[in-house]
Amino acid sequence: MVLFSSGASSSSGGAATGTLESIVSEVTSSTSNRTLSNLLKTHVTSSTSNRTLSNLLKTHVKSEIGETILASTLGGGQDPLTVLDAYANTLGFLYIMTARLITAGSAPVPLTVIDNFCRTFDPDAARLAGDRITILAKAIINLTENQNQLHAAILPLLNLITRFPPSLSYMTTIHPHFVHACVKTQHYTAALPVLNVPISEIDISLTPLTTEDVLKYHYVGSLALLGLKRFEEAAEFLEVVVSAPAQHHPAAIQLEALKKLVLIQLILHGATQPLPRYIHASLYRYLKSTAYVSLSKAFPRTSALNEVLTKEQRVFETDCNLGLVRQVLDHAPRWSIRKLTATYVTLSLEEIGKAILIQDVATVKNIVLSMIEKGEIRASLDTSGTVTFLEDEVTYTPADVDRLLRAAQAQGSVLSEADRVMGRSKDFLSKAIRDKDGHHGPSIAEEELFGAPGLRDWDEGGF
Amino acid sequence: MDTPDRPLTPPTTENDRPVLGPFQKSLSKLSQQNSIPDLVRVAEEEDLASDAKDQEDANRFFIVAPLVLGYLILDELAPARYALTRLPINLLGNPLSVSLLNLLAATWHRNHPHVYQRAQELMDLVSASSFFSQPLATLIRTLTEQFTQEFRERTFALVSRAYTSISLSALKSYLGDLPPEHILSVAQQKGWKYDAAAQILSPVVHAPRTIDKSFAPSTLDTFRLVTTTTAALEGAL
Repeated sequence: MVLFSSGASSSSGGAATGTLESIVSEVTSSTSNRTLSNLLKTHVTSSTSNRTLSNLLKTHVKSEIGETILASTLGGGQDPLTVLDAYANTLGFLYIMTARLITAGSAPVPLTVIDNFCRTFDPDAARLAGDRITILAKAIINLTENQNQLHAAILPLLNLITRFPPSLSYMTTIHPHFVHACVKTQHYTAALPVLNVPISEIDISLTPLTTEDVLKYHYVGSLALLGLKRFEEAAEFLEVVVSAPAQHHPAAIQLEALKKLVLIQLILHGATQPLPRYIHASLYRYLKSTAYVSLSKAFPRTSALNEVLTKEQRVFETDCNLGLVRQVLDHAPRWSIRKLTATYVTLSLEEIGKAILIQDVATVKNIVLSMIEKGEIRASLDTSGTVTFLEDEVTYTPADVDRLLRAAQAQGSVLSEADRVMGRSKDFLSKAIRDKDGHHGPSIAEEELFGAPGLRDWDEGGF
Repeated sequence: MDTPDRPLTPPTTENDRPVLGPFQKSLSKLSQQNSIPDLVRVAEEEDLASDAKDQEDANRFFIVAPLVLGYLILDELAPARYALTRLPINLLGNPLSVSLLNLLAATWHRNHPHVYQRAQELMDLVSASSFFSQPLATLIRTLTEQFTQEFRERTFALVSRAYTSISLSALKSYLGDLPPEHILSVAQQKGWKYDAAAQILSPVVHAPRTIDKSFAPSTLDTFRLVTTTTAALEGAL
């Protein structure tokens, strides 16, 4: 039986009696159960292409009444989702399933049915209905949260996110929902197959993406990476959020991202780092008045850091950053030791302990050993408790250089292609022409007022 | 280790069933093959696929215990921690959870003597006749032994790198309760020197690796790579 056929033959889309159009027209004028049966029966005899079917469903069934009809059962109470095949009838299945998920009072859709759909749908057909896929992703979150089993959303969403777009480098509306489920349930590793693939394609014709989706995905993604102690990758994700263009005022999430980025930079680099020049200048001004500036100024002096923590604990707690701040404090002695390596060749464990304000020699030895293990310093210990700091080891070979060159070449090709695509983009060209004709973007006065001082302060590490 | 106040048998389900049969067999097979990344992947997928009721069920230890030990073997401590903290309150207080948490904490802080002690405590716990599942006990024992071995080898490699000289007693505390003759035998196999009078071991000093300055002829591949890159750069100008 073929329902909502995904066959290649296309209907002319005419309005002859018995065609899909006439039936859709008929069903939108009635809400009886019988009409959904008619709709399905007609499709058994009607051969309709996915694109035609998608257009018709969008046009005729998007209204509230259309959703109600799709959310109804067949004559005799039969569930249409038990009649349809998720692969062969992807579009029909998707529309009916999502209508049921968003229409109050309709028959519930079991999670097993959703899971099966996400594993088996036809991606080509589904790509014609990105808006319904968005509804499905949201509904999966709502359904599993209501059932107090949000973790059950992860596998269906992972299947959606890997099968729906042409590749994982496409950003979709599913992304923020997926990482939200992973982070809220502490299944951080489940997010890695997605987080590990950099986003290089933004196609709003695929799903109705918004700036908020992009910001949320990268912000929540950074939380997953932070949970796994992948600080460098988390910093990259936060930088995407912080440096996203903002028209007038930056979004609140961007300031929150900047606060976290400051903390991660202290862990990773022992100081704040210069950020891209295109970051919204207001962000620096907002940051200047926060406890994060005091913390970065105190780093890595343990006593000063503890003072800031005591004074500002409430702020860090409210910002949900207290855990990260404590990790910053844990890293402070390590950065103090790294500074010592620039001055001294040998030091005893006691001397190192005095410098980092830790009396217990065993604890100092543990820190030094841990730093050697993680490659943060090159040093050697001996039986007398003397630490000798060594020169950095050159660990690359000509083969490594070749490999890096090859990777850089591949990355260069991707960037060239992205540049070519951007150059052909209608939106980009019209914006470029508008900018050329009139004034858009910040004036020199605005840059002088906001941009330069903020950036200069940041570069100096003094805000 | 303190004697646990709670019974070793977790709260039973209505059927007290070994429902995870095929999954359990799969994990046993993977642990025997030492395919730990696969074991972790399978256990994570199973944890995600379990329904709300199973999440509260003591049978969840069939998933969580191998998962935590698998991550410990791979030295991926953050995911090991989350595998445990995801447990519901009713299972977190179970002696098995407590024992796994203790082992994780010792490993996290690189408290070497405690690591071996906690691993032994875990082995003792699951070897008790009152432990709720013998197949799970066998799996936990196998994985704990693998972890101890892996941790010992990792520590030995670190000591080789970090020390120019170390006393036998200090090395013993890093490697667990091994007989001194065994430690000396392994050290000597690795080329370490031993001063028996002072009981001091000296690891082999590895010269720092430097870039190859022998000016070996470039391969054709390297030549092709450089010319292609140069051509691409010139084309972009």
